[in-house]
Amino acid sequence: MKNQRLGFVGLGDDTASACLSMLKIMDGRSEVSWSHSDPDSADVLMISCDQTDETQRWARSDKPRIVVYDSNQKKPASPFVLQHPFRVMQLLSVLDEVAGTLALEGPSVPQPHSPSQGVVSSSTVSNSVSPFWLSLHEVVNGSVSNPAGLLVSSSPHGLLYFKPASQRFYASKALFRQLAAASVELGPLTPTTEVVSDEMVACPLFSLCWMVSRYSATHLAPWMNPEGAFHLKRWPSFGTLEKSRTHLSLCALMTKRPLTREQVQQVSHCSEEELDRFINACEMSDLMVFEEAVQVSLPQASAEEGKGRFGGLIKGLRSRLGLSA
Amino acid sequence: MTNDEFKILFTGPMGAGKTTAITALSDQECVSTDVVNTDIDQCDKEMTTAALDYGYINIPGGGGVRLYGTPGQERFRFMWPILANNAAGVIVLLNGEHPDLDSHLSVFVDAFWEQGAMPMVIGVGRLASEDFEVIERITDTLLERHISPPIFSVDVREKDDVLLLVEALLCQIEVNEMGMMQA
Repeated sequence: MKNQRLGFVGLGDDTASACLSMLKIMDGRSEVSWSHSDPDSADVLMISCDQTDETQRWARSDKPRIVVYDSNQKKPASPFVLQHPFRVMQLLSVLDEVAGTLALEGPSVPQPHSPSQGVVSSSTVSNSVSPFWLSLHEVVNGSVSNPAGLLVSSSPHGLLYFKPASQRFYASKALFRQLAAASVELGPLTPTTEVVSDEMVACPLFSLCWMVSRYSATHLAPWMNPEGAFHLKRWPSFGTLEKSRTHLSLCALMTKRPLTREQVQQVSHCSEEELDRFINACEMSDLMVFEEAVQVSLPQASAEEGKGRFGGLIKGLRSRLGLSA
Repeated sequence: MTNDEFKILFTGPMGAGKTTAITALSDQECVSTDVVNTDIDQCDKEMTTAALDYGYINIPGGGGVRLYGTPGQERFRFMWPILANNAAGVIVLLNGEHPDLDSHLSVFVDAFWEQGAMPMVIGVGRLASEDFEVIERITDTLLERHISPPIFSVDVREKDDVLLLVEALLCQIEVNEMGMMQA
């Protein structure tokens, strides 16, 4: 993996500090490895759009620049921009764009930044999530100008609509069947003025997330810290979720207390891929509380049927009822 | 109750399917204490449970699980805490198309939630397969009160649906057991 250095110029302390935290979260999940350095030795500058002596001096440098501007400021005419405040996914997106430009043609003449047709750039395909998943993440986190409006994603099997305000997807029954049964390539969500037809049926956000996470987000999404602890706010709707013992156990465990992925795996014996998929779907549906650094004690694996008050009985009951996994 | 037994409680309003669910699981004929239903407005059936339903699941190698069903009518609610005593968990069954669903939800969850101390699962019957509005409404209602048990749309005439409720309950009981061992 290529290493690139990012230097800050004229950013406020809070912005610089947030960026450093984001770089840690992104570590290993971007197309290149980004580290912080002083502006002199940086490959790329992250520079405030405020006109100061310092920013004006660095603006004349040949280094690629990501210009950071506040929401009350006019968007700068620069190839790479970030509106402050921004989220880790937006930083990841622009850094990947810069890295792609550097790799293609060197640092001197970056391509002009063109607003994406989608909610996020379809070129911002991270190492583990699809463009559809990225765009959905942006939408559910509020990066949509009109939440009451309708967004659409195209697929070879038809259109999939999403209404952020009601957290409902709409599509033909055939498309939902296809989404549940097989891998379907979904394009990023984009605003549309179309209307949902009467023949279409609705599907709740979590159900859709669970269906498509199988091929859209099989590894922990890059905006989540894999070392953190995860806590489920409540049990998800089981409308279309496979009602397997694994999933029921994950829900029971993760609603009880925050746990790291390793702890959950140790107690539930769930595979890493399935756990990540579960966390991704829950996070996208606003069911997951994420804790950066928390001292979490591991529940004794009691678990180990037979050790608890009911342990042996539960094991026997499962066997008797044919519930054993 | 002996050391090699535990108790699962089924509760909910009249006609929600408690007797049906217990019958689906029990190894022996379900013991019922039926009386003539004098509250036809609430549920259009001839007989209803006055004291309890009782079933039993034998566990190979010894022991078993006692299955108790509470009476659904509030006039018999004095039986509820008696039956809930020492239960490992409770399964609340509701009729999703009953006009008093919200009231039933409140009455039965309040009676057995115990600040989350007792594992609980809610099964909502008589919903269309694509009707997730009712489940979401129940979820939101309970969340406003910081209550968040698993909620499933079920048909208790289907044994697999009853087993799903039991499995969800067992998973919670196991997690509670971990907490007990940690303390």
